[in-house]
Amino acid sequence: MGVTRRGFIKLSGAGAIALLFGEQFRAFEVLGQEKGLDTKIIHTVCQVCSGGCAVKAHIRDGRLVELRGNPDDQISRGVLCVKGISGIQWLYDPDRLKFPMKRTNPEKGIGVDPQFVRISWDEAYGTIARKFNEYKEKFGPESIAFIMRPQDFAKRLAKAIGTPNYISHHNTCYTTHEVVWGNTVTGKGRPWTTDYANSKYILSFGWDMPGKAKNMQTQHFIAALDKGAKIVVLDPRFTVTASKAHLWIPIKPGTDLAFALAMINVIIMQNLYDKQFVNDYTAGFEQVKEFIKPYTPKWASEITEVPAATIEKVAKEFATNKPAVIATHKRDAAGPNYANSWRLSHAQVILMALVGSIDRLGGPIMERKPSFPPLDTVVPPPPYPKARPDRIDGMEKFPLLLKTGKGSFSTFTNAVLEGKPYPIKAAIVRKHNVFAFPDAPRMVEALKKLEFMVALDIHPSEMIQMADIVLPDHHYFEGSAIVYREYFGLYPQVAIQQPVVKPLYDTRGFRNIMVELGNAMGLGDYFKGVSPGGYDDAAMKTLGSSLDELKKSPNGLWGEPKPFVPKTEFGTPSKKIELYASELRKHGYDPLPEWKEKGTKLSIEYPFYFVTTRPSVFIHSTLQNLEYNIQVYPENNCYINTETAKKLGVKNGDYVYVESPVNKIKVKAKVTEGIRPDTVCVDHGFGHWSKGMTKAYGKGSNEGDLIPARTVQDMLDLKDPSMSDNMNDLCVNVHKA
Amino acid sequence: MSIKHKEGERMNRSVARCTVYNILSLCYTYPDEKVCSWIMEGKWIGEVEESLGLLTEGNLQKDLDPFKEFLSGKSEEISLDLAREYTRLFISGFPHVVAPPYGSIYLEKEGLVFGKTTSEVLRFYHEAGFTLKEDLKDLPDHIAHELEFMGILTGQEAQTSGTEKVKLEEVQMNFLSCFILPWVPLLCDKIVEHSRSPFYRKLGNLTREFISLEKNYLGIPEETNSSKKLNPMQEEVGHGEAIRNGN
Repeated sequence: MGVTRRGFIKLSGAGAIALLFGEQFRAFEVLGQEKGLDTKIIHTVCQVCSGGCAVKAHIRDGRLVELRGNPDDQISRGVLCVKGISGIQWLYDPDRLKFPMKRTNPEKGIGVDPQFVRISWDEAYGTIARKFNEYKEKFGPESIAFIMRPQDFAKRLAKAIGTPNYISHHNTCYTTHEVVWGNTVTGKGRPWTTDYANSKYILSFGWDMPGKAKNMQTQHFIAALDKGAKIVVLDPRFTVTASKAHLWIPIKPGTDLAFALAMINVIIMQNLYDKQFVNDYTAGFEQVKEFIKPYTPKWASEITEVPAATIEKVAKEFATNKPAVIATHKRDAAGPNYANSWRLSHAQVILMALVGSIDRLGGPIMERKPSFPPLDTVVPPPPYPKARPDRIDGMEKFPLLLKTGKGSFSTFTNAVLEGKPYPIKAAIVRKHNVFAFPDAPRMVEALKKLEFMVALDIHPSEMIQMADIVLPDHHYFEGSAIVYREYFGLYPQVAIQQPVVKPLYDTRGFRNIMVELGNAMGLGDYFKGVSPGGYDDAAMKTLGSSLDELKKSPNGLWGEPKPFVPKTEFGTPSKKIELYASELRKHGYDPLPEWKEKGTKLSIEYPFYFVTTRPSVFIHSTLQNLEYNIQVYPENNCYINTETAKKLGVKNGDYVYVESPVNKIKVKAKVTEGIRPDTVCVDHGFGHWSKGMTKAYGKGSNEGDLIPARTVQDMLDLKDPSMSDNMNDLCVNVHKA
Repeated sequence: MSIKHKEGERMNRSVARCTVYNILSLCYTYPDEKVCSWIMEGKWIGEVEESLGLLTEGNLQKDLDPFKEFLSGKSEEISLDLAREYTRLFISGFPHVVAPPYGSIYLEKEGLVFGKTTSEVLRFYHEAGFTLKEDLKDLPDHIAHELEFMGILTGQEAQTSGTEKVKLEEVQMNFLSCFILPWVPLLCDKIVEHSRSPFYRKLGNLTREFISLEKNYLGIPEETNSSKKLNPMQEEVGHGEAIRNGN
């Protein structure tokens, strides 16, 4: 908005009054016809987590006032979680980023005022384009890093620039599951749908999605409970899921693999496996049978501190209560938490194959989402420049992870600080916060070393505080997309995401930003004919529909229910579930989940195991700035066993220091019987130091500070195909503050 | 004769009020290149002086010297200072935004933007025959828009007479008492107290005093400062701010 000088001069003085009308207004115009404020219901999609619940957004007098789940959606089934409902507060949070900004204070760091100044989008693009082209010219395109989730428009820009460094957070999240399932079952990534509602036996290795209010998993889990399913939870902590379980086993952290191996041993040795399924759909059973012999319940008992009889009992129940399922999602015990987590994921695949659960109702369901074509198929690009093969995160040394397109942000810190294999000069970061990564203070040092940083977000996160140019993203209730049903999809279904209100400020959609930035950089040839709406329409047309048709759909959805047909072929080279994973072997990794200890052991210096959890009202380090959410969970806790607390002289509510080899944090003690005496647990998502987040600022501490940042060599030494960052493979000390 | 004289004076008063509202509105608009060069040209100071001279016998117009002093500095420095300070005060501050420029944050206990009162403001605009431009990219209850709206109403008033004029004054009175008086003085307090720029400190002062002048001029009694009928949330004015200040 501006004012023309001519216009203003005419404003002043008596003679100017008439000229106030018509084009002389700045923010206003004459209302052409009677206009009421909108009151309506709009179909869209929640984007708080990756679940993508379809939503009915209720608009009253032009304001978003209520959110309901879309009852026809397979994921939300008419219900939203506490995080989803808080989307209204997020949309209307005064702390949101509103306009593009540039930094005017060259100094960077925690507690430093960036002295931002509002700028136009044109100035923002102009500056970024000039800087990026300058670094590309002087230091090579690889000196520019993209740090964001894999997204076709952004990937096109990275490839057009010619940088191999497109980096994401996944090896702190779920690459263990992703790589193992991909190479034993799917040929792609891990399956996300689990049909808990039809399970008769649900076994959790640290899975606590009900405790995280994960909508599409919790609903089906509760349905299973109602139908009388038996629930067994192995977790060092008494989680929400454990509280619903028939049996809670407070297993020693990082020993779940031994428990799982002993279960395989019992099921095979006692002939309890599903012979038909194993025979028809699996490969490598004979190798497993031989391999599993030493892993008896007695052997596992010594490692796990769980009685052999209990292990045997769980194994027998698991094999005889069909369908039985092992509940998994991301950061459970088989997520990237321990040096042996990927092996646990493999053991879980074997267990579920042995009892015939894979892609059967009541078990994990292979993807049935529609497959949208890649952008490069819809609008083929001119040839991309050849990017150098070596990446700053070293991911090219992990070909099985590289293939998934999911990345490794955790090695970025050390590589940037060491300048190896080459210096990184600039980065563009979207919705990745420093808190999500090991040793956040060290990461801040790495970011300080960059000469130029662009950050995109909705809230003024810590990354925004480090940025030279800030680009404000639309809130998801202002944006558009098509979203296939993935986290629960028994048949192909797509939901429309569309603006429920006009964007409140001068924000833009991410895909448009990538196109506009590409054009500003002089890479327009790569973006000819590329537009978000054009892509969405082309993708819907591959389904025999169109974007328009989806927009007009009375329930905001595409895709009729279809009967469930179990798969008889899988995505591996043998088309079978490869219990003995030929692909892992081909790449030099153990083809069977041989027992290995977790990476760290208790010592006099660090006498406690360390685990983390995430409160249900937050999603990682997001949503802490929403008033109601932070009121419900005002700061993070360190859960300590009653006996341990007594020995440490710590009372409930006291502050304690939790100390690791790399950092020390101060956090409130929550004394409870619900955790092993040798283990402490700290909630994730706190310790915000961005003062732009006025409600989250200064609440609690970031437990991620305690985790060491790894190097590529550390990762290679672990011989883990998924480059798992081992987020809980850590021992700590605790003392009263 | 006396009636005619009075009519003429009233006419001038409307123009004067319209001028001040529009100038204040522009001063609360982001100082991009165009707005900044208008500010730096400084002609508006004389116009404010002249208008206030007509509206009050007090010393308000004599207090404009700080603006002049501010504008006598180096122009590049002024433009960066204005941009930086505007951003800090109203968009993205450190440690936090000093004075959020949106009414609902002050008027509703939730302390969010686009609250019920924002819808009411928008409806008020519509009922007066106006709406916000489609590509505005900001909220209806931004201080700059509310002041511009008053500028429009006073401008309209200057062109009418008789019952039309009375009606328009009533509309102004309603808007001022429901949507400006209950929060703009709070905003001004924050600006005056915390701004590092003499320009915005003076702007906060001027706005506060002008609004108080307007309150008297339009004959709004003290107790209807917050018209509870229209704004039930107002009893909890500033709760959102309390939270903000807590940090």
